[in-house]
Amino acid sequence: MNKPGYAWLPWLIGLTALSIVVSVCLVFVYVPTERVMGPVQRIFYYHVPSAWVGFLAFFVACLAGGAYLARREIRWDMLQAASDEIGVLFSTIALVSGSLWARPIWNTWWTWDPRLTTTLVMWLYYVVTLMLRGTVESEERRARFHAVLNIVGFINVPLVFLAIRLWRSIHPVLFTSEGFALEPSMLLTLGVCLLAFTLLYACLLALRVRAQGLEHRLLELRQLASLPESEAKGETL
Amino acid sequence: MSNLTYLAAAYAFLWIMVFGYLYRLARRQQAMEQELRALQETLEGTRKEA
Repeated sequence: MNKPGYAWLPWLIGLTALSIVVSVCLVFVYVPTERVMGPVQRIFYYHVPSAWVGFLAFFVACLAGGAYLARREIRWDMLQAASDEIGVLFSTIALVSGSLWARPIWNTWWTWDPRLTTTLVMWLYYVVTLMLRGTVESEERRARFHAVLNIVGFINVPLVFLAIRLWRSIHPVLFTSEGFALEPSMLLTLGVCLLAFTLLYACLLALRVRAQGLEHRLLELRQLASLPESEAKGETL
Repeated sequence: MSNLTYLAAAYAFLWIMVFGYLYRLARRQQAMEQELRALQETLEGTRKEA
């Protein structure tokens, strides 16, 4: 855990765990039950942060993709791959939790609403991106290909956010021109949940990037081990 | 299903996904660290012999 460059990671993990505990207390003890929907509305406090982390992760992947194309440094490729993976994880959570919330409220598991459809398209795009990444053998080509896909794919992300404003939708609008359409205690709970999930994203990203660094080192050593003895002894470990 | 069942299912899914991902990451990292140590030892041995 305390490898060089990652000494701060245990602190981040501790802070994340603490914020998650606080968020659970707020969601299940502090915040009042919504009058119309009842207890099922509490899905909202983790559904919105999951969607937020999905957007954030794809944004970070887009930036890392741009940085890779500009600098051609492998660390940016590691960051884009890690961020995409976590983005897909949290987008899956947002889609499934939304569906579980929709069933009792809209009386359907799924509807081709603009917000739901654009979210599904975004999710599919990034799943396919990760699958395609695995098919390219050359490290440099794989990174370049993934970077381009990340930059192009990010066009859909603002569209997902704006879908409920651009088209007729049954999905509720949370951020209106007059501010948040939420009662103060609900807003506070949502704020803490958003913070907890952002910290969780940072933790998972750090762990995944570290694992990728290890994977990269392992690949280098495997190549070194397969070299003839005369070439291998000149290399430093 | 009652409203509470949907709520429990959503929260269960969330934490199963997050902890499942963490578990997979930890297992993979452990396996890689082991292989890395073994490879480093092999390469050190090759260097000493040379």
